[in-house]
Amino acid sequence: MIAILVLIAFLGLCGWIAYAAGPKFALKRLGGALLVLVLVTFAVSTMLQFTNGDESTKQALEDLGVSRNSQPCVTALGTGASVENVNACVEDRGLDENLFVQYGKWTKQLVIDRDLGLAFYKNGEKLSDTMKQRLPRTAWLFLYSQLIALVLAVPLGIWSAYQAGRKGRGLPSWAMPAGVGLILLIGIFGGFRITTLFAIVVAAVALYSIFAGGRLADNNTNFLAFALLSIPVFVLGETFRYAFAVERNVYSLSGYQPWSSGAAEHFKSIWLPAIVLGLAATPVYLRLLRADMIQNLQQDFVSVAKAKGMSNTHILLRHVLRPSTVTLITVLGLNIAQLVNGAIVVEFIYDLDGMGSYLIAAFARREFFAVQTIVAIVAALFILTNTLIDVLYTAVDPRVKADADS
Amino acid sequence: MTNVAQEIAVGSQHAAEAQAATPGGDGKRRNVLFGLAVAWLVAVVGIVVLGWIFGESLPGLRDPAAINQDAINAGPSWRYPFGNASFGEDVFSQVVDGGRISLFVGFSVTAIGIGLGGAMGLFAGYYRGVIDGIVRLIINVMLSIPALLLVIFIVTIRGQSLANVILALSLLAIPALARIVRASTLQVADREFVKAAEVLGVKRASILAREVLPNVMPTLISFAFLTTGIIIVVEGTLSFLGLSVQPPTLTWGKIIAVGRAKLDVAPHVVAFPSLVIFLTVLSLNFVGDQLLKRFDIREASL
Amino acid sequence: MLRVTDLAVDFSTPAGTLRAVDGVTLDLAEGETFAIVGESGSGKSVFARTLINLLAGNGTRTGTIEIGGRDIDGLSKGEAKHFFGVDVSMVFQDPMTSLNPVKRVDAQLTEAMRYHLKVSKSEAKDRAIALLKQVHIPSPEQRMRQYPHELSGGMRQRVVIAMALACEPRLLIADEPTTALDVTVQKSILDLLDELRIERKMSMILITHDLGVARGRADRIGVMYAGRLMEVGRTSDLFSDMRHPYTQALLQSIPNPALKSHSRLQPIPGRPPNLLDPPQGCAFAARCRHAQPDCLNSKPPLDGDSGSEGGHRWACYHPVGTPAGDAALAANLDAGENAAGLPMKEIVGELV
Repeated sequence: MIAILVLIAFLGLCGWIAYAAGPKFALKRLGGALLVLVLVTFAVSTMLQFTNGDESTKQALEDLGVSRNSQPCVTALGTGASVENVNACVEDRGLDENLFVQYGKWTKQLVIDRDLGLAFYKNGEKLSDTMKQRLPRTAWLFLYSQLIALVLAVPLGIWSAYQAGRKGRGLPSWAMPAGVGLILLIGIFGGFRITTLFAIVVAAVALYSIFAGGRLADNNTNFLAFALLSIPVFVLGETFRYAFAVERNVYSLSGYQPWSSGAAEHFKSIWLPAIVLGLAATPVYLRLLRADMIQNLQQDFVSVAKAKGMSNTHILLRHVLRPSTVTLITVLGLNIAQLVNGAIVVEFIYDLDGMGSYLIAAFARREFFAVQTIVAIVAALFILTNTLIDVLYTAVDPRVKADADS
Repeated sequence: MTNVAQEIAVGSQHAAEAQAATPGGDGKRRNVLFGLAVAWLVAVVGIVVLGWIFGESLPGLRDPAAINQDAINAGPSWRYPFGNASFGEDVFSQVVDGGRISLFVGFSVTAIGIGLGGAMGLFAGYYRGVIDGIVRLIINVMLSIPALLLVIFIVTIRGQSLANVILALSLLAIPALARIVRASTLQVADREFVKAAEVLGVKRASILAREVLPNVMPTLISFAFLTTGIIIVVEGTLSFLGLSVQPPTLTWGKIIAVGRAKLDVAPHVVAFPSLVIFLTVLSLNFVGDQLLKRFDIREASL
Repeated sequence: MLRVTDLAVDFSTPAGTLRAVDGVTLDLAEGETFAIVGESGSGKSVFARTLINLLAGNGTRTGTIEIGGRDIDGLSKGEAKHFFGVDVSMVFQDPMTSLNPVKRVDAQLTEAMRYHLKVSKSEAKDRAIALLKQVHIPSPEQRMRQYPHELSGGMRQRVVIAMALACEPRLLIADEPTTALDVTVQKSILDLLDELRIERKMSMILITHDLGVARGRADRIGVMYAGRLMEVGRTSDLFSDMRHPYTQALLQSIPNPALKSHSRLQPIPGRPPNLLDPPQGCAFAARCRHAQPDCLNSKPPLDGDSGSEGGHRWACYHPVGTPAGDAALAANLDAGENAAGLPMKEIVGELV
């Protein structure tokens, strides 16, 4: 039922895009995306060949009475697997056939039979069941983290870009790097309490300098974003886990609670991972928005709007932000990749049993087929989203259509 | 996916970010920070390389696996500046030892990425046509799988080893750098001096080598720094998740992964390697970013 | 209508303070067109932008500006909000970039009216269509729904002009309004500006580097050099009876149909002074055929003969066409160089 609704929505969107952007253009883009999708999945399917052992393993397998190419199945099923099980698996996966038949079989199962295969070969758990259970966690994590990132990045980016060309005032410019450096030093040698105190003081001063405006506000925002960008997600995650879950018991690592156990419980179980993932995405959006807006602010049409006497707020939000939004949406789409990376790490750190930690488990158990399917699904989602965003442009930004037409 | 989205986000996010220089800017502070960043990089690479060559004969360095009953989970001291781990191992020596793999992977993957990806981007951007189509398709295909997922997939099917980690990370770096170099080459190839050389009948290959390459070089060097930083982070993440090289080989990520179990009693075991990674990546990013700004001719003429 | 007194604009740059406009004093009557002529970098655009409160972040202004009898520094915050863009507005140089590419023409035309005059959406739309008719855009209803990239350059400049006129300004500043346009379109845009100015009894400041444009369109002309007004006077006075050697040099450096064919143009030797390190005396002295030692020591004030008509004033100690000027020129010719060391040899220009 839901699948049908989604399909209808998707077809409707495609129709609207074809109407807005011209059918030829839409077809070209969607066709290109489909080609990439096929190539990606095919490459992923081909890579399974590497799991075949060398000649001696193949010989050993043949001696055991199973197919020469059954190495992936043997690994997935474990050493105690029976010959029948291995043979069924080889048949199922088409390991004895050539690459194209294998690929055809796999995609037929995925697309036509809508059978994702098994999540764990040894106990026969279905991947679709695993996803039904785990995917919501990852999805909520994505959603919250992106909201946090946007809520932080958009106002700060606008403010920072707006202040970039203005006169500096307030604190000396070295205050910010020095303050952050001091927090790090005290954090290591001074213990939790002093660090927190000092961090709060520095944060207050930073907030003041950011809100006081001027060139320094821009410099400081930019510096903070730059530092945040350079912190690996796992370092950020561990630091926060230490501060909020180990040293202070503000966040309990008791696992994910669904919405059905109440909104409060739900948020309590997920806020810290969401913040970590959100903070990791914030500097990307912030810096991009800022760069784009600074570029737009230097355009003549901004002077024209100013000469018309329009207020700065109006110019920023109506004239400058709109073309920049296009860029921001693009980056949101492209950043899905980074989000997936981050989710794997964050779920691992906070024991959130989502798709990310499933991947780690699947790796540990050598579940080639499940990892292959997930890689294909994620790639498909990524390509689809970005193509849609790409084509959506033509509706939002008239310049792109003008380019595409010519 | 002939992607307007990706064209607009030219090359990578960094490219747009690099153009975000505030008009004017305060150069003095930037110079000081640039100096600090370079100094940190030189120090880290220097200490790791010295530790590699001289090992424990160097003062302050010990066997990173040596068990010390008297200093289990002990905090930083003058003797053990980064403190001790759960069997009393010297964390400082571990960081120096782990730096080998982390830095080696970072540099070698960047070298491979620059070599192969750079060449791909250069040819695609200059010769256009079929080559460009193929390279763009390869780039799009490779970049449509999230980095960590691709690396996990490759390591899953090929097994954990240094060579496989480098291979997997190279598969990330090559298309990313190819895309950046391609965008940069397209810009350079459009400039008058290249057109002039073409009109004069200079051979295309020699134009590519003499006119285009030197002008793409600055971008390439800047992104070499940025890429090294990213690769160090990804390798650290892999190690952290237990997917990188097999134990007992140490890397920065692995020290953190081991230390996180004892975060309540020995936070310094996680803190110091984290700090080293952070500062190293920050320095690499900062140097790359500043170089990108300094090389940007359009900006310099302002 | 407009009274500027002793206006100076400084920019602080990493290399030091730069004075882009230096002591400009100006009076403009109702319905009058005043052209400001100068080379690029002479400060004319900065001057224009300062009038409409468009200084860049690192710029500071001293001196007073009165528009319509009101000192712009004396405006309250609320008044200032609805002053720029209403009483005074501006047309910019490049119509290709003056319009926001992602907003439709109607949104850009009506936003100022809606903001300043608080008119309703439908009324603003009607007024916008009327404006587009006034600037001679055919089928304005359709144009309203288009994006800027769907219009030609001349058409866009007409939209920009309509935008500037949306709130019925009494003073219009046109900053090189035709520089970026085809020659054939230039005339029609200038005609349009003239027509609108007369119709609405607006005053206009026309910034241009094209003496021909200034001559044909302006009542009075001010010649600007290195941020200072060098000579101000009625158009006819300035062209027939110029006093400042710079004005003379400018006129000699452009083709003049009155001269016989194949006569050589005279380029101005040297280059404009570095504004970061301005000369102590007259800014033009280093390139001037009349320069004497006193020109190097102090800046000549902008004044003229008390009896001159139309307020013809010039900033020169040795003006052209006066005994003092002729003597200075003769002395320099004798010496072979001017007081700043510029050789007086006849400089041979390109054959036209």
